[in-house]
Amino acid sequence: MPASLIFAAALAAWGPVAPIAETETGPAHEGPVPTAAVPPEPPAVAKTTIDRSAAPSLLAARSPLPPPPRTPTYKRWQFWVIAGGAFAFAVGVTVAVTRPGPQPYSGNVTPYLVSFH
Amino acid sequence: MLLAAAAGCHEPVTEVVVVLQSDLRVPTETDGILVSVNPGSVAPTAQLSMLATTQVISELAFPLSIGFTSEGTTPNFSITVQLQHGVTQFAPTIVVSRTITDVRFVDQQTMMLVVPFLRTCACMGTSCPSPGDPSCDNIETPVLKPFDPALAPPSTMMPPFTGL
Repeated sequence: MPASLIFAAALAAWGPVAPIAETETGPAHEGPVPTAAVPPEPPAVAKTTIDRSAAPSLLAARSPLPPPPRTPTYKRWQFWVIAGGAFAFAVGVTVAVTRPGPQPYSGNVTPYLVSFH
Repeated sequence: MLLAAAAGCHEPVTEVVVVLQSDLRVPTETDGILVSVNPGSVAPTAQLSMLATTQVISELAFPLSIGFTSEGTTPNFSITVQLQHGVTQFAPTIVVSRTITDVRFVDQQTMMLVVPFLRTCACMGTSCPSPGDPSCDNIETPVLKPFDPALAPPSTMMPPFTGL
């Protein structure tokens, strides 16, 4: 069977090709249609006049506000409460641990102080 | 809570302070002291003592004192104290000698034992008073009292002898 007949049979089985581009863009032409050549119509709302004085609050709500400036950590009172507490705790532990214990009594005559180990 | 735990790391000292009182005059009647120490309840002797020290006390005055601390190795100790005369000479003589045995430590407390060395208990030559006078006799398992700084001389802060 010739290849042309096979190709023709395949096209017949595929069905008719829908002429979409031709019907919407006017006269038919060959090759791909560049989308930039057909500017989309602007939305209808863009053609209306916006009365800003009518609803200023609505306009303000639509515009996003800039985020508030972040306070540095060292300027927060919680930071100094935690840091001060940790410092006081460390000082207390250091003093308690390094404080010498009670000293035993030493006599005034030899052997002065005898320790049974 | 951690502070309390850290503060609890220092346990109170377990100590017995022996205070030696005497009406003997220094140095005319006594000028030296010999102290012998034994852990346990065995009285130290010249042949058997774990520690024996002699000191000239010509520059000292009564009361004299010695501290004994325990690290838990022995619950008691015994001592013999001899007040001597003529320690700077070749053969010192014993003026008064007393032995205290079975001195018991009280855990984590500083106790005191006051031992008098009276002139009436002094030996005359080679003869010493016969037993029967409580103020001159040896003492076994003495009753200790809480440490009273008013009765003891100030602590000299000398380092402990740890050879026992």
